[in-house]
Amino acid sequence: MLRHILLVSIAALLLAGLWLALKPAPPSAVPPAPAAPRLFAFSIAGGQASGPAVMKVQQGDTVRLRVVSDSADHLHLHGYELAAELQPGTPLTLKFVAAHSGRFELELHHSHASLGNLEVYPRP
Amino acid sequence: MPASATWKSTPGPKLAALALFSAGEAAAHSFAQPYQLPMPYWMYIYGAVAALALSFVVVGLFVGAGAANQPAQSLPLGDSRAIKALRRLRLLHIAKLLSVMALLLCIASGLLGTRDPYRNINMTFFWLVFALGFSYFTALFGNWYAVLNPWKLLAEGVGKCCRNFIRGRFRYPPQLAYWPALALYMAFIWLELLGNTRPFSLSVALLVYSLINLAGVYLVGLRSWFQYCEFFAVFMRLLALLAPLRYRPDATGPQRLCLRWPGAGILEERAEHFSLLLFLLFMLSSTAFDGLRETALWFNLFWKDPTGIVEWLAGKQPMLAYPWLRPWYVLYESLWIVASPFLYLALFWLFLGLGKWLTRSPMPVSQLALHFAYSLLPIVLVYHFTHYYTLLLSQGVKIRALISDPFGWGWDLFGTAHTLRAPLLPDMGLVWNIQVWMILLGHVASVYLAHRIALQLFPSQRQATLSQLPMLMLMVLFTGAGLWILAQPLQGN
Repeated sequence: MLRHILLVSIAALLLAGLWLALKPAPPSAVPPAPAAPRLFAFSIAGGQASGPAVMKVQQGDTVRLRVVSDSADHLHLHGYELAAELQPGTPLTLKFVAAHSGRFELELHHSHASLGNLEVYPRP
Repeated sequence: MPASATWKSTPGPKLAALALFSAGEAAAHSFAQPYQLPMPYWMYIYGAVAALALSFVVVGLFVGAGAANQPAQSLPLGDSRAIKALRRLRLLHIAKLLSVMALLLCIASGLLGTRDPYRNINMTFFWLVFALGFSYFTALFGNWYAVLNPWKLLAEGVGKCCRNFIRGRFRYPPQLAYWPALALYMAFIWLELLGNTRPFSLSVALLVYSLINLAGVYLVGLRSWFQYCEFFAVFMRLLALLAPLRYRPDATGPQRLCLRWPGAGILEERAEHFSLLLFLLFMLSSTAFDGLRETALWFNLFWKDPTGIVEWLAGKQPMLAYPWLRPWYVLYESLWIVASPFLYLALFWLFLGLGKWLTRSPMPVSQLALHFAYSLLPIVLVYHFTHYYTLLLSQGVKIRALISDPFGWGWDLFGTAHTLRAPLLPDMGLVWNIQVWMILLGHVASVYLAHRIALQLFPSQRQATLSQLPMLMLMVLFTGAGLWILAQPLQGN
C-alpha cells in the first residue's frame, strides 16, 4: 500500500514538474484585441478562387470576410454557422466577433468548394 | 449579423468544383469536419516525455511486488434485483427493434430524403452516433452490439421464415480466419476517408453491406459470419474487452452481466489469429492515417513534391497536373490505407523480437505477438477518441433535431426539429488538455496490462520486466506518434 502511495506521489510530482518546466510563460501583459477588424478578402471568377487559404486570428478579434463572386452561390462559415447568399458581382461582407476558438471552414455550398479555413487561437 | 442556424443547400453542378483547386479535398471534408486546431508544440513534448516517465513508474509498480499474477476479479450482476426488474421491462426487445428500424431508416432516408448531408439523418446517425458514439458506449458498457447488431437481427428474421438459411451451406474455412472482417473494415475506412459519401451513396453502401451480410450468412452460417466476417461485430467485441461491464448474451444466470476492472477483459483472452492482430493494428493505423492526411506535411509531401519523385513520374509539377493527378492521389492514399497496419505490424514484430532476444524466451515472436496484441487496445481507444470525440459535440448532438425531421422534408415529429442546430464548440484549451490526458491514461493502461500479460507468460519476474522494456519503448513510440500527429499544422486548402 505504502509502495503504491509512493509511486502515485512520484508520478504526480513528475507530471506537475514537467508541466511547470515545459509550459511557456504567459506574456507579461495580455495584448488587447485590435480595435480594427481583421479583413480577409476573397474573389471567385471563372471557377477560380483567390484569397488566403488560412485566416489566423486570436479569440475575441473582430473579423470581416469580404467575398465577391461572378456566380450565385451560398457562402457558409462552418461552426459559427454564418450563412449568406452570394449574388453575382455583388460584394458580400460577413462581420462577426471570433468568440470561439478552433478551426472553421469557409465553404461555397453550391460548388462544394472550400475557400479557406479560419483558425481562431485562444488568447494565452 | 445574427448567426443563421438554417440554410438551404441544393446539389449544384460540380463543374466549378473541378476548376477550384482543392475542391475535391474540400468535398471530402465537407461533412462534419472536426473544429480542432493543432495542439501547441509544448503540450506534445509534455505528453511524450510524461508517457516515457510514467512508463517507468508503472515498471516500478511491478519490481519486487511479488505475485501480481492474480486472476481478474469480477462481480456478477446478472441476477441482481435491479437487473431482473430491468429485464422485466423488456428493454432489450425494444432496443433490438430500434436497431433494425434505425438501419432501415438510414437506408430509406438516403434514398428518398434530402441530399444535404447535414439535413439527412443517415449521415449523422451512421457516421457519428453509430460508428463513433456506439463504439465509445461499447468500450464503457460492454458488447451489447452482439445482440443489437441490426444485420444479425435481419438474418435471424430471415432465418425464422426459412430455417436452413442461417445454418450455412459450407463449413467456414479456418484459414480464412478474420481476413474477411479486415477486408470489409478496410473498405469502410476507405469509404470514410476517401469515399466522399453523401446521403444517397451512404444508403447504397448500407444496402450493399446488408446484402453482403445476408449472402455471407447464407454461405457460412450465422455463427461463423458474425464471429469472423462482420467487421463491426469484431470491432465492438475488441473494444468491449476494455469495458468495466462484461455482457455475455450466451451465458446464463448471474454471469450474464459482470462488473470488473476496466481493461480486465484483456487479461482473460488473447488474440486467436494473426488476422485479428492485424485487424487491431488497423484500428490504430487507420486513425493515425486519418490524422496524418489532414496535416500540411502529408499534403505537401505529394503536392509540393520536395523529393521530385512525383514530377519525375508525372512529367510536370504536381500542382500543375492537379486534375490529371487527382485519381492517382486517391490510389496513392488507398495504398497507404492498406499498407498502414503492416507498417505497425513490422514495428510490433521488431520490438517483440527485441524482447525475445533480451529474455532468451523459447516462445516464437508470432506467439508473443498474439499474447500481447490486446495490450494495445487502450492506446487504440484513446487514439480514436482524441481524434474524433469533438465531432460528437459539433455534429453528433444534432441527432436530436434530425430525429424530428429525418428526411429533411420540414417535419417536426417530436417537436425537436429546431433545437441544437448550432454545434457545441468546446474551448480549444480544454480540447487539447483532454487529448493529452486521455492519451497518457491509455498509454499507462497499455503499459500496465502488457506487464500483467508478461507476468502470466514468463517464468520469472525478472524476465517479465526485461521483456517489457522494448514493449514500453514501442508504446512510447505509438503514443508519441499519436501526439505528434495532433500537434501538426493542418493543410490549408
